Amino acid sequence: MTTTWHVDDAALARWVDSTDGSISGASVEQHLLSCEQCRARVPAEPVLDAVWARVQDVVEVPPVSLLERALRRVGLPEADARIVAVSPAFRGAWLIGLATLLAFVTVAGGYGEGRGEWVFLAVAPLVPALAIALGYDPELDEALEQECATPYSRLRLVLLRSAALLVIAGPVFVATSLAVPGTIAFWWLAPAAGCTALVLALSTWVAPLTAVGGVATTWFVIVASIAQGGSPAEVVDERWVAVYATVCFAALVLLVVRRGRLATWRAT
Amino acid sequence: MTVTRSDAELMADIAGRDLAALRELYDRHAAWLAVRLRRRCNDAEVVADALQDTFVAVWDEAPRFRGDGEAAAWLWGIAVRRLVSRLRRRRDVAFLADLPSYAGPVAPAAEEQVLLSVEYGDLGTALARLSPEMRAVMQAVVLDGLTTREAAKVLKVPENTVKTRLHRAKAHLRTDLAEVTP
Repeated sequence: MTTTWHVDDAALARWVDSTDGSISGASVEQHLLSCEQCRARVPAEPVLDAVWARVQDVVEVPPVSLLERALRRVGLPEADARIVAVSPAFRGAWLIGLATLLAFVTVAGGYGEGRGEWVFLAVAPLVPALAIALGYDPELDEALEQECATPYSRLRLVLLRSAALLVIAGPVFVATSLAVPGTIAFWWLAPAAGCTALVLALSTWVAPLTAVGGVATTWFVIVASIAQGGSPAEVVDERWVAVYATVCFAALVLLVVRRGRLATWRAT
Repeated sequence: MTVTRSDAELMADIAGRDLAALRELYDRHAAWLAVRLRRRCNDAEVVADALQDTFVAVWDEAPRFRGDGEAAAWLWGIAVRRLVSRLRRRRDVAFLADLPSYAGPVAPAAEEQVLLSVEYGDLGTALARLSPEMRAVMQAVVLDGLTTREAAKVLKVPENTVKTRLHRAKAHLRTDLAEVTP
């Protein structure tokens, strides 16, 4: 159907100014719904540009991720939730880390006593440390550049992200422990805590991933030397657990004392 | 040379996350939507918010637009609901179902008569004879496309009252129209 009639200029002007009655206004409105030409004659108000800018702002913002929404729901302020959620550790890297861990658990389970457990002990305690380093290594985090330009405590950022990782990964670690036979089942978490805290502390000197490299090397040496003449359980016997706990505590103290130096990550 | 996209084509492109298409749709429809919204609500801020909500909703809802209908009507359907929802948060601003400038003459002016008969035929004349309350309900439900529940909220009357007025208004119109066209 073609419209042969159009709203005349005077009627349209009255409609725009709301000086006509609602009945004739209803007619104009009904006509506009089906008439492109008359719609185009309605003058655009200056405010429309501002409204468009707001529309654009809303639709261009990337949708809030599931994780970020969950963090906000548990009461984390918006800025904190964003900083945790944009962490690269929550992207592919973290998943790779978890997959590695799970793969080694399977290997350990497959071999049972002996070599499998050594492999597990050598690698598993490093996984949380690696995951946390991935969580704030500036080399991997484009968003960090921007965040660090804002006055946001770096210690707070690192601890928030680490805490979020541990909360999310906690069930995975427990599941891992349940899958591993013998005494090392839960005790592997002791060297894991030590390694993690050490990586955080060393990050005040070197880049996080470099710190992981150093800690990993040290850890391999320790495990290898115990393996010379002992059983896997010795890695987590009382003496060593006390050492791990001491290292963990000392490292955390170091981290707090040297928190200002977290800014020098980019020293690499 | 650029080919002008139809509203339906724009809608399909918006569904494919084409911001330029949304902009084009905005340029085509924002002006008249703004005026029509302003006729329902005289608070410029609320109108601007409702208009913003409308096009943000279009960005998300575009895949649900069925190409067979008039895009303008679809847009108004979204816009009037966004306005209603904005008004829910702003109790100090009212939904204007009937323009205050409308004095409500029993017989509309001659040129109004012409306008009315073109779009609504004798219905327009009959509408003008309704009481302001009944006309408000007719406008909110029949012309603006709100549900009786939404109309009840914006007109601040119980839903049953809306239904009663609507029923009575329709009965009046039927009688009126029957007199004109036996």
